[in-house]
Amino acid sequence: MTTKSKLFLCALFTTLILLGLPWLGGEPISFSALWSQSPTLDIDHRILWSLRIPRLLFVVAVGGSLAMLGASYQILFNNTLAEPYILGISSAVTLGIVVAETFLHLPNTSLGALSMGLCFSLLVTFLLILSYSWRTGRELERIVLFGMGLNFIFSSALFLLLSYRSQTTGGGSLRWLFGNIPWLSLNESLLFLLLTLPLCAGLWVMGRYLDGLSLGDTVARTLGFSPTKVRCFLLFVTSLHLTLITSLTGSIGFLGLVVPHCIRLVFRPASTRLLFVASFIGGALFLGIADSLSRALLPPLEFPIGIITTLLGGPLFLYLLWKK
Amino acid sequence: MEKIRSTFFLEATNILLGYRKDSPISETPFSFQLPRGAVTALVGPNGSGKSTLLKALIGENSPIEGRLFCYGIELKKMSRRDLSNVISIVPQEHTFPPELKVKNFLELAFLFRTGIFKPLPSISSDKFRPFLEELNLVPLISKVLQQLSSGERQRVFLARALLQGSQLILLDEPTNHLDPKAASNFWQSLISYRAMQPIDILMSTHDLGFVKDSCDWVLALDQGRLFFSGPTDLFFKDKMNEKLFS
Repeated sequence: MTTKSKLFLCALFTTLILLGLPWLGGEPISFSALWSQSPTLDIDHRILWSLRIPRLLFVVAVGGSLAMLGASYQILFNNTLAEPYILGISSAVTLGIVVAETFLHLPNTSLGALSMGLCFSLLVTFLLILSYSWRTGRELERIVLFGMGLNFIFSSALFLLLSYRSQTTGGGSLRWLFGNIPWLSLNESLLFLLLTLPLCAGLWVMGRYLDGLSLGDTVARTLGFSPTKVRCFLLFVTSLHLTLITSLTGSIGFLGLVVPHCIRLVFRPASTRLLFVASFIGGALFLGIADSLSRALLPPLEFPIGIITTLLGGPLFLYLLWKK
Repeated sequence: MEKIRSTFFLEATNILLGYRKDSPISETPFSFQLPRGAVTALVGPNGSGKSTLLKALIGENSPIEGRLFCYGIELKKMSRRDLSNVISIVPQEHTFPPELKVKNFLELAFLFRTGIFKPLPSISSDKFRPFLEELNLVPLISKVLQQLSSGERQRVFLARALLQGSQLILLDEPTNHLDPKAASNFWQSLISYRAMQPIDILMSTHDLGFVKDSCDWVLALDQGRLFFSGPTDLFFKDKMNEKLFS
């Protein structure tokens, strides 16, 4: 079987599973609630359309995006251990939002708080691009180490702020530290999809350039493009993408690292574009399942999604490494 | 792209080599001309500027002073797209996605010759069969890159550079890590491809045996300066090789 037909089967399988997920949860729901608006099913219908389906759409977009971002960082920095949160962009976004929340008393989903997050993230992105292109040599290691340094600084500032807040006003730190899927309305979810899917599509188009970069900068230079420019451009676009996600979910660990690795080990995709498509599908499935588990383990309690993804992903990853 | 009119594939006028503007390897500028149709060996002790010259050719770092012309066109004035039509390279340290199959890796040679939305041409098609046979790659085509021996891998890297279809191939110490048999297989592949396609070759190497047998022209550098540029037999007749490495 070719990789493409395998991929098609997996996509089909994933879609079927994902379509079943809205029917899992604390409240059992009749299947016909999907279309029927009879009085007995009215509550079911509302739960489905205003809670669970929007959540599913959101989870698919977030999971798919994170896996694609992880895959692109691994190629961009020629580092198999790279993942979306490695560069400090996400901790900067979170810090920005928490600062707005704590000192300006803005709700964390307000436009003001989100803009503050965006500003922090743009600052980090700018510093990263500067650190990469400032001097000649342009070593990749430098940008990764620089990003990790920024990550330490911003995370520590974030921890400081969260610990200050939990001792004065209490609560609200877990969602930022371990990730959280917010309850969005159908319109909000659709808007989120409308923003993220074009970014994913753009990344898919840039897959050819990432193929070129995966041959090393020396070869990439003879392929007709500037590796430095492409890397800076991709760094900028992926930062925006990541900012968009992190500002709503906090950091959902492990997914961006483990999904592309599993895809590589299992499918050996022939190109970055195939890797992207497979990672999107894998990430969506993985986060969909993790989200259902986080709600279904002990309803009505809901566990931070990042803990579930790590608990699920860690053993899976170790198993795959062991087998190969 | 302008029509190729020069009889030299590479000309250098008064160049100084180095990585940083303020510290060239040598203060003495030099010039040379390398004739088309010759297999040219770039020799010299470690640190003599061989890799720096190759890097200058692909624009990784430009020469600190002076001008470089490739087929009569100044390198600085060439767009990246033009450069990709003229030069391809087999670097000393080759990065590759380890889990990739050989055929998929070779198809990456067509990355930017194919429209960005079109699928890459398949290397398994009949069109490429003679090429793969010539380079003895047919048995390797479905294997995974990581599982190849270093000799096999080096031939795959060579094949990728050749498939790119450029006129000049740069090789940076291609047989450095190979045992004598793998090295001779590598040279064999290169020579037999060149019999089909009259490409120009510039390679840095320490394998003077191969230089003597198969290269037409020698460019020797020493401490960032030109030591010798001329036909191979002259290089060995005048015992330049012994002076260079003494």
